[in-house]
Amino acid sequence: MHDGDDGEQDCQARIGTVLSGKWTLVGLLGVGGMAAVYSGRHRNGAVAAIKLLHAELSRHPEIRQRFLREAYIANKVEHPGCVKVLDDDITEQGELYLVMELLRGSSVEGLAARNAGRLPVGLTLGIIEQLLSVLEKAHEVGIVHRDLKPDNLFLTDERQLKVLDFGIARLREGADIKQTATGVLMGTPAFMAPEQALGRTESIGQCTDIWAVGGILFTLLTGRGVHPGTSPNEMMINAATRPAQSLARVVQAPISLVKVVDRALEFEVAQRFATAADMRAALLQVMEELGVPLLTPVSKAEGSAGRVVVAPAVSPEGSLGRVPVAAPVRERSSAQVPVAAPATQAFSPEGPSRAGLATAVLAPNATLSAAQRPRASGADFDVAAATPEDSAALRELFTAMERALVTNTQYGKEHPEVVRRFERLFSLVASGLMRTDIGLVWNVTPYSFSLGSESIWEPKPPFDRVPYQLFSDGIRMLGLVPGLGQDEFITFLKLITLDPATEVAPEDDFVTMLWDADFEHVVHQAIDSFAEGNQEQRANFERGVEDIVGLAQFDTSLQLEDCWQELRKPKAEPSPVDTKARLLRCLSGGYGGDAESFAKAAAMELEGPTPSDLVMKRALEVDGAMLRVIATRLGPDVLLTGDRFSRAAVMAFRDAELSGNPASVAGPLRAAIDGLSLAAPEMAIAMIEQIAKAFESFGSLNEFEGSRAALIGAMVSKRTIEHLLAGAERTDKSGEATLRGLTTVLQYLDATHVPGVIAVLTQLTRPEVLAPLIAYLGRLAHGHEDAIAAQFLTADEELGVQLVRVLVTLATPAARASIMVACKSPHAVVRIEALGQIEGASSERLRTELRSLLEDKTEDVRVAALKAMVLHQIRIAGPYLVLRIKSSGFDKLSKAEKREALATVYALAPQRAEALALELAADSQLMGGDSHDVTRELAAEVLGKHSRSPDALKALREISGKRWGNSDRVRATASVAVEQIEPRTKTAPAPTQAGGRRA
Amino acid sequence: MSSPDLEQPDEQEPSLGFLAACSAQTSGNPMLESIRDRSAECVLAVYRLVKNALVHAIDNEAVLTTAEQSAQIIDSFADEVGVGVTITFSGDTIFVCGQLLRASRKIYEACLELGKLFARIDVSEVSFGRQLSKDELLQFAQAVATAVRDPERRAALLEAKINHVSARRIEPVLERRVDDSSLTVPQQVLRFYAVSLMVMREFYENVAGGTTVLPQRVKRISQRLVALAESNDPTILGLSAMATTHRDDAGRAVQGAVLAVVLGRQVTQHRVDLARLAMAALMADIGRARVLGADNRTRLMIHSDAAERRIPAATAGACLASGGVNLPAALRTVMVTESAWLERVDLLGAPFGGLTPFQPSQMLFAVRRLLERLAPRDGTSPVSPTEALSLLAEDARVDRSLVKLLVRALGIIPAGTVVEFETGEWAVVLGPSRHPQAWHMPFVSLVTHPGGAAMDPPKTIDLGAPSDSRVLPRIVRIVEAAHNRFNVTQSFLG
Repeated sequence: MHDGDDGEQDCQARIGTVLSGKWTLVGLLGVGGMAAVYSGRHRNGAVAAIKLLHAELSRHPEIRQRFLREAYIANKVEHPGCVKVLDDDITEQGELYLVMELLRGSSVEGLAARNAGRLPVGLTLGIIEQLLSVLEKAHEVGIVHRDLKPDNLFLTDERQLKVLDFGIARLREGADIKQTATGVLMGTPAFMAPEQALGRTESIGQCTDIWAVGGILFTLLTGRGVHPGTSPNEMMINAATRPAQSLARVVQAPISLVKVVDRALEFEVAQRFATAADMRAALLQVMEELGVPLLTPVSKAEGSAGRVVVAPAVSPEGSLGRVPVAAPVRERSSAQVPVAAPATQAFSPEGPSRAGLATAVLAPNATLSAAQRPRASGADFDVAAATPEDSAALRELFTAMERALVTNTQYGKEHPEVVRRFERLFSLVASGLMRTDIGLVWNVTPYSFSLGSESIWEPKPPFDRVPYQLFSDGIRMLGLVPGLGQDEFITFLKLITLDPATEVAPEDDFVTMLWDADFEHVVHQAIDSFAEGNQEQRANFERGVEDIVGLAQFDTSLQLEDCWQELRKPKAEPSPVDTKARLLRCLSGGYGGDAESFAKAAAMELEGPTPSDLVMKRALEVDGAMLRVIATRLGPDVLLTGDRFSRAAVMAFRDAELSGNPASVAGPLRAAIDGLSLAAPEMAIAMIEQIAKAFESFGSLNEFEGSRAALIGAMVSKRTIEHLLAGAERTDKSGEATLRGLTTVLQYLDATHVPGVIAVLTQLTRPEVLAPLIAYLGRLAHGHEDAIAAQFLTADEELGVQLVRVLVTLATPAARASIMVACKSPHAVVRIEALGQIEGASSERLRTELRSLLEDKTEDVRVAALKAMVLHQIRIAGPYLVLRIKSSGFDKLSKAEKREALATVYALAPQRAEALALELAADSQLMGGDSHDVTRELAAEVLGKHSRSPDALKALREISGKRWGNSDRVRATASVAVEQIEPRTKTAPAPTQAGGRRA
Repeated sequence: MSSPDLEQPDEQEPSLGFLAACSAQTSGNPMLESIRDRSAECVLAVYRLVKNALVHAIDNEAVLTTAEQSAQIIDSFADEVGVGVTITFSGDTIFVCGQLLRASRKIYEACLELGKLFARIDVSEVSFGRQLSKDELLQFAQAVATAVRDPERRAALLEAKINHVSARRIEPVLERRVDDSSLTVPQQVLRFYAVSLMVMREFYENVAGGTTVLPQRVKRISQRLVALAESNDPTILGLSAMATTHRDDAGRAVQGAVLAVVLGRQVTQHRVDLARLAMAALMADIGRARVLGADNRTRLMIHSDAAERRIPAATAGACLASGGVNLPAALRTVMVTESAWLERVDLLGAPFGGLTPFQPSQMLFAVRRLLERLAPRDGTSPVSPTEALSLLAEDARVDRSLVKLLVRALGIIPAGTVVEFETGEWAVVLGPSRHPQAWHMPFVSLVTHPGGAAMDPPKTIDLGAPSDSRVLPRIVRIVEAAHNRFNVTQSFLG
């Protein structure tokens, strides 16, 4: 079987095999249901297409017979438009094969597919004229094709139309003969005449082909089928039942052309052209009327140079009432690059003088090969001869462009709608280019793009700056030429929509950027006005230029003659022989040859009339590989350049410091970091780090420490810090990386950014970001204590506590004063921390503060305060808390609050907590009641959880064993605690003092 | 669960180099932006006032109201931008404070109409100073109306003495633009050379004066040079004959750029690489100009080691300040800095503590060394180009491969060399032979007859041409460049 991939794989596997000892299969061109087609090379070097009937079908004599008979049908049509069968033979395995001429080019279907299903009018008419010419001959000998469609039409590189698949339908009928005895439909629904669609085989004749020709014309001109329908069945039903719509209903076309197409598509056979010759005559008349030349085949050499055919065009709206333009016919190998004509173009001499959106300038280099042809320049173009259709087409193009740009701004480039709009935009460009012979070109004015005096795009803000800036920089004309690919077009679009204020390097303008972009299919014309400044400056400039030019052109014949007279008899000058020999000797030194002999040879060479090529060439030889290495190294290496640039920047900064202008170096660096910190914070960090590291390459860091701090401080702006902080606030991987980088960067910074850092502290949401900033402030915030103090009013608990600690670290009088401000913080925890730091644990105010907090009416507040103390490690609160626990009121608290209080003490002062817990657990009161038991339980519980001391173990054992004064609950909890502590006491290192007791 | 290995590429991204992400981080010029944003408003205000003044009497309420509004608009513009308003009409182009008018078609056309109206009274530029009052603006409107209405008094505006208002006519000749396409290639090359010299002179003057702006036209020059070099016209090589004439920083910059492109084209045709090389060459003395400063900028020699030592660092600083931080500018900074360092290696040791200089830096250094021989900065006599190449070949600091490439580019007897034939005729070498097989033989222009009389017109001979039966003259002497007191460049212009 030859279905699907397996079949193709089988066919692929045959490549390289030799048939009948003479034909080597070189490549697989296609696989069909009946046969596979290969390109083959004869042992005598000839190339041909080999059509190999599938092995399983070759076993049927009937099929073989029909295969041969149908194949040779085309030979009966004596027309160059038929593919000739040159030979047939049988392989060693008994498979039948045909040898046919090998075609190079593209199917008409393929050509149209690259232009939204349409072809230029001129090209279409040229193709159809050739098709009708073939049919004329075929019908003469009684052959009806019955399956005409664009896919069966092939346009060679030499512009010769070839009609494929004569008689294949009949063969298919034969192959399926067992399964379908009658009523087999042949043909392709989209191009099926009514009688064919109805299965009236008796009515099928040359008029059936005429209808198909009409259908092909209709499709190639409009890009849509004659009948609507989404499936072959639907199309076939429509073909069988509905008359074709008039071409005039779909596009605006010359009436004569409409008549030809409509008549070919008549529902009734009798109404159509009676013969292909009739239709061809009518078509030729239309072509003459429209000025469309015949599609004349060219020689192979011309064809392979990439000829295009001149033919009338169809505008995007379908308007046909205009002058012909050229279209390409060459096959493309890559879907990415080509959308239109090849880079190399030639124009039919009989073509119109004026064509399409631009005047067809017959550039002198137009017939050069791609390699020879200089890049197209704006000078090759002229927009003066634009037609109304041209304007309409370009207007649609730029309207689509503006819409796409607006959508892109709103939704971002990844949005499906944006992608769709850019695709549509490019398809408009592509179809526009398909219709032109030289390109789409337009003028640039300060406020619009125009064709001559007619505006085709007058953008509103913000896009009004596109033409403005282009014009301002000197660009007067822009153009896109055939061959433009989507990537190149998008790059072009990005370039012209750049914002010069923020996205263009200072040395660049749009002219230099277009040059740098090195577009292959974008042309521009620009004026070069090198003079700048006011009128006087411009005048001076021009005068200076003229002086230099005048000096260079100054006639010094008299001086020359004087000079000759004076110097004719040379004094002691080095002779040319000596000089040249010396040069060669130097250059050949590394060659490995004998330098002396080189010198001698060089001397001989100069003296003799015949140069010694060998000597010269050997001396000046540079290894090809070396040339390539040099060429490669001319390009930038991003990494190495970054490193070297950082070193240069450091060097420059140190010099600028000495000359009193460090900002001249730090400024541009800061601008770059500012930009990077917003767009790619991690890159900003990388840059800072690399420059900081570059200081190390200049020797001892101690010597440059001050410079480094000054440079980094000057490079990193407040805005950068803000951007980096914003980046670090993100919780993704990028945020983590930025946070790490920020931590590093802060280490390099001097105190310049202390105010900025203080200002943003209250805006941070991610606790991890706070730590490096606090460390930075602790290191460098001297003199900024007041600013820190001001934060206490708005800082949350955690920040407040951290700031108190920063102030403690600073340990300046101003810091102490600022801590006093913290004592008024709205957060009790902060107040406690501040009071503790200032007045110590014995402070009456601290006690008051703690009391007010821990004696709040609401249990939730009290518990939250305890938790905050643990969180912020307010150790200063420990003693007060112990007192509170030991107070009589403690028993009355809820179990949860008591548990929290004990845990807090343990967290803040573990030693003191254990003693306290032991005391509580052992406190058996006769009249304690349940609430006291709960306290004892909790004390035992907390000991069980944390303690590892033998003393605690002993005490708890006692409690668990004594019934007197200990409730069951207390004993049970104590027992559990004993079990928890025992293992820990075995592993715990024996206390020095307790060692003796244990022994 | 993602493995650490999978996360690694993301974390390594910064190692691609920050320059890859630095496209063109510029902060723009807020003043220029303000001018562009508000220029249409100003011109339109003047347009309305003038139109009203032409239709109504000057004391008409409409004129008075418009004048008041216009004065406010102009004043507000001046406040924001910091300068008064100058409107220049030049053909179909309108400039406000030197910036092209940015406006919609409707407004632009209205403004052009204003320009045509001014043209009728011989005015092509009007300026309004800061603190402009309504009354002054009314006087202006009155003067315009008078000049337009009364042909006898068409100079009314030009002659009017109004505070904060001035009008003048710009000579159209100054707006002339040379259409290069009408020139021959040698003429284009020569004009390009002259234009480049003028541009670079201004540039170096500004650098010496402390300005660090890199004009866009410097880059345009480098691109234009590459485009001209693609023509393979020998005049490009002939420019080196003018090296001794223009020994200042600008001359050396342009000469260096020409030689750098000629050398670069031996290994690549890549336009962007070549233009980058040319631009680096154009800026090669930027550090020197900075160190010398405005007062000493015309000095060719620096007689202070301390100053010489500063030059690479000053070069880096000036490059950085002018080009900012992006890949092309950074590469240029490195190239120019390394080249400046290589030129002072005796004083400073190897660049960057011994790192191998970048290839383009070495090329730049090579052509600068050659240039130093052709047109010594210390004012000593130049040597012939052939001798200069020999000296370059002997210089251990210059990569020998590069010297070979230079010899191949310029010829063994390089372009611009004056040679003497055994017959007594003198000739100027125009470049290597046009015959590929004999590229090492010169293509010359005979400038004298055997008896020493100037040959008019000069006759060209390709000494590499197949000899057939002819006997080609033999070169017996290279005339020392120091003795050439005649114009060698003329030979290249045909």
